[in-house]
Amino acid sequence: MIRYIWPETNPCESFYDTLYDRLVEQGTVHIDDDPVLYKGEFDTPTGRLEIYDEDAPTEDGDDIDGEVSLEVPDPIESRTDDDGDYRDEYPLMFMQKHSKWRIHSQYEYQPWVREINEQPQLDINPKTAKRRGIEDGDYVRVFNDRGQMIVRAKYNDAIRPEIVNTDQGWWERDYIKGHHNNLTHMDICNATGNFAFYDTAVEVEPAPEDLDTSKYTESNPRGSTPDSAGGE
Amino acid sequence: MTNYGLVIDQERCIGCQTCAMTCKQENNVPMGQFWNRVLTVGGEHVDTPSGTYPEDGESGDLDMNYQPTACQHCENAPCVKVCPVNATYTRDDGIVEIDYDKCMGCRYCMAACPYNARVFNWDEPEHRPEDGTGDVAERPQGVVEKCTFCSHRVEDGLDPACVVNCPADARIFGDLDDDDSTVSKYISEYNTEQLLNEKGTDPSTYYVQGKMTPGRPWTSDKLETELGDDEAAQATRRRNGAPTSEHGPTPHVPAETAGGDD
Repeated sequence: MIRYIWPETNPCESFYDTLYDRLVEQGTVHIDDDPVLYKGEFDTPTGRLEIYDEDAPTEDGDDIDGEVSLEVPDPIESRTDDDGDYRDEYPLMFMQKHSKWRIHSQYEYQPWVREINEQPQLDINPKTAKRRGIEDGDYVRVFNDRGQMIVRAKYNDAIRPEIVNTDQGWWERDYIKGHHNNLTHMDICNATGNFAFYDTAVEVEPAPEDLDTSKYTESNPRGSTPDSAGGE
Repeated sequence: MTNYGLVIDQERCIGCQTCAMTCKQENNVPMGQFWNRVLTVGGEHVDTPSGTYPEDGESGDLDMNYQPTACQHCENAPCVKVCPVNATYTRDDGIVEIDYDKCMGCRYCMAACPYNARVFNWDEPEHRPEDGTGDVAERPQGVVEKCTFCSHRVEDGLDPACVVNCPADARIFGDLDDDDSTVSKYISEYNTEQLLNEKGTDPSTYYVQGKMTPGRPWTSDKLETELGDDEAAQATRRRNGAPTSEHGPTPHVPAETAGGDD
């Protein structure tokens, strides 16, 4: 295993052999090596890392030289869709932002945190929700061609009307039905060459009325709500 | 005299709820209860703003702030006045505390407190983990409980848990009667407000608003109890505001502690 520590900077075979022998002998090894792997200039106008770039490639698929826009981009899937009506059918972009309550899915099982951050929710702009007959706190069905999840709607004026969000890191057992990753895809984003989980098209509707939500209405042994913590 | 007080810099507060969590852990606070809460000032829910999202070139009016709120340890505490059995009392060091043996659960204090700082054990307390946490004994069913400024820590020369563990360094604890203490300096140097000042409760908790302060000094990974025993040097550093001690964070409680003597 030790052979894979610095495979690019120290390709010499004997180096690893020596290192391995020392590790076995001493238990720990100090590697006297410069950890800075990249010392050249970046391919930017300043040669430095630039956090914000007006001329950066947009997420607009083929239109990679297009101008930066504050419009919500077309989801990848509407660009690759054969008949081009995916966007009409699923007009909302679905994010799964990282929250302060989690490191990915860790701490989902932390009962103190769950008193404040009780269950997965859908951050939704009140305008978007009302157009769909969704009241604050209603359970809603979020769906697309791939799957669905049922979560509680949380009116949030900080979120754009074209976007909805459920924090990532919830486990399947936390959902009334489904899971946020039932909705996401594995398409690759042109601009970053990585997964584009936020680039997901969905529609939202009120959840069926006969829904069993008892896991969140009856499970608290104290009969108390997150209100006690200043949460919702 | 010692008169403990707390400064909370609302310009530094990031709403992370660490104070709420660490309080729960340190003080063995039962499930369903919080002594220390971070309220959202803005929308209806935690972490939501008031106003509407700017569209079509509007400038927008979204606004959100965090309001960390626990017992304010008022100098003129209404809870102390209304308690019919003297269970709630003000210690000589200014900390408002409850004698759980005397408390009979009438909850007058909860009605009198304008800060909603108190909670009542309606049921047998439940803990996670079940054996409880921290260094404070569980309070029985039928009594009111609340923040004690971590008096058990203060008596050992340690700052309250919420102060030590605030990752934004937004909380400063110390002696309001000592003009040279960090809390006193903060109150004199920065714009501080007391919550619901018009009620005449004179809280010992002050909120910095407007201009962000440098924050609580934290310059070492040493625990306060591991600091050097050169008291004179520490006292000098404390007088100097103590932000750059190379020996670690300076405890803001005086070396000689004034415990509860009721």
